[in-house]
Amino acid sequence: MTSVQKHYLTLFNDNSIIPESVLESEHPYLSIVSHNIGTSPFWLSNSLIENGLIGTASAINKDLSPRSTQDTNVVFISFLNNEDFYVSNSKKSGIDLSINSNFKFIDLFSDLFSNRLKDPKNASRDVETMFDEVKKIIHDCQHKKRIVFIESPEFLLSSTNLTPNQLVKHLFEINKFCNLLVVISAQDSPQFVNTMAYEHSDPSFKITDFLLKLYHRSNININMQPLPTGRAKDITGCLTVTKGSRPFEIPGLRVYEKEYMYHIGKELGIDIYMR
Amino acid sequence: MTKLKMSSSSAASKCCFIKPKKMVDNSLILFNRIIGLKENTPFILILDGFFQSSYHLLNEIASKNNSTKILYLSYETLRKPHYADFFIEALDTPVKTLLAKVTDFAKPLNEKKEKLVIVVDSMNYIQSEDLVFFISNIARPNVYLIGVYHTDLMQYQSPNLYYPSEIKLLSYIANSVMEVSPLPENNIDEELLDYKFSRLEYPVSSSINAEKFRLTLTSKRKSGRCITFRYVVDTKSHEYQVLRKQDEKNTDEQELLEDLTTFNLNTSLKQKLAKEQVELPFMEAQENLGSYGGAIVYEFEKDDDYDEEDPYEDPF
Amino acid sequence: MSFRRRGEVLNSPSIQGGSNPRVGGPQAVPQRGVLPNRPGTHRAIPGQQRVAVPNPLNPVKIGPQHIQKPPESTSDQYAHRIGVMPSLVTSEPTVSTGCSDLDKVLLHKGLPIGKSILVEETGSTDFASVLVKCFASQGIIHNRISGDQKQSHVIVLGLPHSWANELPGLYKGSTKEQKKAKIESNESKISVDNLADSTSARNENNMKIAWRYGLSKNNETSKVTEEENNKNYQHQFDITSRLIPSPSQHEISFVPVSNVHNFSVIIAQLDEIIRRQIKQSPSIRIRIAIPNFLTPLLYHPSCSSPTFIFPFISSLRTLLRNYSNNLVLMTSISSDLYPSESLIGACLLSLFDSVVKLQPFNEEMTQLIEKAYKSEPSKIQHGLLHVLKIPTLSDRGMMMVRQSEYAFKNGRKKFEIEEWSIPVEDDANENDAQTTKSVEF
Repeated sequence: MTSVQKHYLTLFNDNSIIPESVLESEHPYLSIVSHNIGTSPFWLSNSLIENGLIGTASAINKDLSPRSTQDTNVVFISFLNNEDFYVSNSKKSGIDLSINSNFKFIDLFSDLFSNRLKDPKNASRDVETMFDEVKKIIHDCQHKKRIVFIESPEFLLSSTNLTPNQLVKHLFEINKFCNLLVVISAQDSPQFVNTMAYEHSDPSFKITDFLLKLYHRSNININMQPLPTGRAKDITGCLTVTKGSRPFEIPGLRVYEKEYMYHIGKELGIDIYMR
Repeated sequence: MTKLKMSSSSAASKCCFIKPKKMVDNSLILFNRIIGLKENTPFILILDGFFQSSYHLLNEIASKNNSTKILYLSYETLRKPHYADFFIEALDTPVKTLLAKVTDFAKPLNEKKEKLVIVVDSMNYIQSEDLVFFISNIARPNVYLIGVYHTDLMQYQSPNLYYPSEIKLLSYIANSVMEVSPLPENNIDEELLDYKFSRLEYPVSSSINAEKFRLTLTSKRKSGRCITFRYVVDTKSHEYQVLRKQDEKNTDEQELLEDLTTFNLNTSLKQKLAKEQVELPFMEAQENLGSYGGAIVYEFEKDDDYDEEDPYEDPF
Repeated sequence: MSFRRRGEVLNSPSIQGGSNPRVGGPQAVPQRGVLPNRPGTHRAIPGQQRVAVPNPLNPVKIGPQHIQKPPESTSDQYAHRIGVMPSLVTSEPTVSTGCSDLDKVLLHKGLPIGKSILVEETGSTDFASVLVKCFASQGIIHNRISGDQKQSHVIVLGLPHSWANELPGLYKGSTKEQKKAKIESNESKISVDNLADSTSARNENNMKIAWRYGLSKNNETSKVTEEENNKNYQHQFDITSRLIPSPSQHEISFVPVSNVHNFSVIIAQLDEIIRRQIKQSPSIRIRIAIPNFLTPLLYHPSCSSPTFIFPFISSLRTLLRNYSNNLVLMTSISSDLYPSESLIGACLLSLFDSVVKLQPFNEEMTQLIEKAYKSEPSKIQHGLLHVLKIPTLSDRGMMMVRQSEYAFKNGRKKFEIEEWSIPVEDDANENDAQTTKSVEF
């Protein structure tokens, strides 16, 4: 493996991860980070948060310099983890989220079924109230530049009677309030994604429909999955960056489409190789 | 579910040079007239998919109709596109309310006999029972409806069991249907795309969701005829080329075999047909065995030499 | 360290004296006695365990090789929590699952507190229940080590109270060793009578050993605490025996699930028990065991709906996160009823912190293995163990899936997990061995 060179991860042709021009743009953009359950995107979302907040991404790209003014709000919405999970692990990756005032965590995990959605079989109204609250928090953010992450929104489709269109609508509305919405979603096939599903109430049908609708308007897609050959000692998985259905309407800005291999070490050190 | 059709043939762009110039001109003129909205096509249906979005085609049509007023009915676009004059957010709006809103825009223009283009960014969001109602109520003189339909979204079964599927319904109503798909590329074949689609993944390829794509135009003529042409559309340089159906399969082979020898290695159409009809013996054997396609079928015969000592020689 | 030798002492109620400095009264004198001339002593005297009276007769070995020097803070943190150790990989406080090999497979040397494990099993076998029972037994044993403060509580979901009587007891060694132990225990009973006289002598004895190992009396206590915590961390269970006395309602609670259609009812009940236990003893470890989750024999058919399962498991996950210093969860589920390739399986995989899958061998494979290990029946494995998720590490994005790398076998003395290798049929060698033997004769 001596000949294999380590790379810094960049997502765009201007060597950036989240370009400043995207944050300054009028248009709301959408990114989908898809993964298998075996390859959690935790490290990537942490790096994206760091890049959004201060401009660096110390774990995956040491070339980036911090932004001169910290004028970006990052909101992280999760259905699977609580704030502690992200905040306590963030210190390792170079940024302490607990003291960063531009970072907001919206915990939709801890009281999801005990308080917010008491009746999963009939949840549409409650989900609407919940997202209204979320939208308000995003809307009230101090800065104009906003990045919103939403982790596992598809969980609502499998655990409640919510329809894909309703969820799509909520996400689009959230997207309107921010420059970039990053949807993090597990995409194991055929468990979650099954294009052959036909039963409307089947969660895999709903999830597939939901994701397809998102893909039809996404601007950049990042996919992570384990090696097709199984576990390897020095490789954790493959990472694929591709442009979405719609381009970024920013002159000169293109998605840097590439396939990478990556490896996560014990202390969350991440090595990235070209494939 | 409609899947993207993609031929494995390469060099698609070369095809147009082989054909007589006159044919090319005719079909190109038709395409230009349709996207320039000079034909009488009140409803143009654009079919796109996971690997090729209609985004660039819509831009192209808009740029061809600079002076025309464009009303953008948005289900999945969040901000008004630069070419649109009016913008209506349609998501979660009942069809009737939507139609009323459209009429507000359309009526004054209609009275002035001005052209209006209504773009619907995805007809998938309209319930299949409402589709006909929606289209027939939007139609009026001087209004051109351009509807995008994503062919690969999940299909919702109508509660009316035998009601036609959305795509069939729309294709039936539409005056012209344009289906976009990515240009074939060397490292990507249909099988790979099918596999990738089943997992909702994109391969890394410059031809996916590109500005240059393949377009199949089906146009219904007044005479009742229905004609189909294929094009390669480059929305960056605004160049269109014609791609003809038969060409795709034959050109490859013919080109390869030409000038190799003094013999004629090519097969005529008749010979080809005859060749395809020859029934090969192994096909029959496979039928006997049922579903074991591709299996090596061996039946022991008395003349066969069988060495019991040899551990590798086990016919069973 | 995670393997126990047969000869090691498994249960030693005498800890109360030394390990817990808050215990006053007669325990002020160090109670540990070293009896180096008694190898293979096993003592789990039922009935005495929960009594707070020190039992000086239960020997505890002090082996210098066991003594580690952990940072001060950790020893403080773990000193009063019996059966808690820092994880080997992340230093999170961790408890044993009751199966030392499973602890090893999980890399943390157990299950970090606040985390959950799901054991899936294919086929009609029920090996997973063995693991769940050991998990529960381990909790109860931890509780019986010290009677001073409640250390551990077990909550069982779905099964009737009689399940408590099925929990395995401690492994007491092979039949031979057990006989030996009996004789020794009889001997020690005699010395009970002379307890008062021997105390000072024992103390001196203790000092001698301490001196021998270069331990000053002052820092001995903390080191010994660490060492004893090691010892009490994991126990070995004999699945043919019963936990005696059977767990009382103070040690184990049962939450019914039959005729429950609403997950929040179950969650509310769990929450109530957890609150009550924590109020009594804030540092308590509560083990929730859900054997045979979703089995149609116990659960209403409507429970198979995703709108029951996922909210339920998500709420359990919330409980684990809310009581992240107290709670661990082990669940077993049949993959035949709810395949891991289905949506349900995938969702469970994403909601549980760790998932292992037991895949017992089919008949052909069993025969092959039996044939291969004809001469060594103890080597016969029962199936493969696949690791799908590891606590914390998987969440951090590391690739932890290990398919077909481990095999398991379930014996009387323990549930063993070892690296899997395809057995080789070496009939020829066997014959050779026999001939050489006969030649020697």
